[in-house]
Amino acid sequence: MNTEAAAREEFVIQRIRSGDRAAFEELVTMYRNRGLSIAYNLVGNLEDAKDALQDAFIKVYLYIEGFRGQSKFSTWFHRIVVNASLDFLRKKKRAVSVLTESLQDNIKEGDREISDNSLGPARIAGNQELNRRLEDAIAGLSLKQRICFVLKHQNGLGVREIAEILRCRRSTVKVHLFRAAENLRRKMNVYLKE
Amino acid sequence: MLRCLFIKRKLYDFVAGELGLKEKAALSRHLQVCSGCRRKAGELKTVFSLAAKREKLPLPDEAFWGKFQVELNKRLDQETGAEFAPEPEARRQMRHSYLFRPVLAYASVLLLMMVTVFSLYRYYQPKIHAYQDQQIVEEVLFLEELNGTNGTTILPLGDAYIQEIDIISRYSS
Ligand SMILES: [Zn+2]
Repeated sequence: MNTEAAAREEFVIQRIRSGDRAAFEELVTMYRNRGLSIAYNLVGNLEDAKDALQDAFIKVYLYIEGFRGQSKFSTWFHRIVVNASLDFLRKKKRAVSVLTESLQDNIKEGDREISDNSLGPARIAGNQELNRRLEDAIAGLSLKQRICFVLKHQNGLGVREIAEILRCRRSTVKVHLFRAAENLRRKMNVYLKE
Repeated sequence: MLRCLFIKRKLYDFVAGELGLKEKAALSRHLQVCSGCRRKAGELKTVFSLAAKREKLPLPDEAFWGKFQVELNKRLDQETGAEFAPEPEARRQMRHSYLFRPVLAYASVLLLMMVTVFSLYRYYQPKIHAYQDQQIVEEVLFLEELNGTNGTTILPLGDAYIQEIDIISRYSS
């Protein structure tokens, strides 16, 4: 970010502190694309990502006093987006588990059918299928591994910023990244062999 | 091979492009002679490039963002209890006019009364506090989950997030 953009951002944040909603709309415009991208990579679809991002922006507006300029605004914002996305997933998981309890038997049956039909590299055609495999593999990672992997390899954030977002050491982020990559490689290698 | 076991940990940094020149050269030499590690490196590279491509989905158009902003404004109105509308030109002029000043005085008296009524109302609505407390507890729980600790050791004091929580509790008390 150049100095002019940084000055503008600081000005906009000051205006939001005094309750200026037009300034808030400007901030939304500045940050909506990268916010949506992070939320999308964590929650997995556009509609849910949109809702999670709105939750995040509402928190930004309500708790802007909590931003003291100790970190970059983008880092503070990314942290709120990650939190909002995980909150969203948690709420959704609760709702889904209630919904699926009665359908449990049907779903189990369906699952078995799908995996029986699709296992084996010979049946996999094209990148789209590979992408879907990767989606499933990422979804199967532990929470910490998934967040680190998504932020680094899908959103292009650096290890340092991820450590700031998660409030942990850089070495911890690196361990999660290494384990995530190793797990994904193992899960995917059946499909990567040609 | 013992050497492969040692190298496995460095393979991630190698493929992610995060090794120094010296280590990079040493790893390249090993990959030239070890097909096992070479295969692993290739698999990692494919995983990374697949993951990176996924982010480059076409971003939504202006219509999407227009709707997004309208919804966001509506939700914010509900949260803050305020109506968002651009200030009309007439009111903007009035604000600076001489006639407007006594109105300001009345308005501040009215505001004081509203604040009093509102605080009394809040006092008799313990549910709101309970809900907000629950939210804070949930966020802290999330952090604990993330840090894999009871949350007290890794989060340093004076931390901005603690301050953020501070502010939430200040406004809810
Ligand atoms: Zn080797």
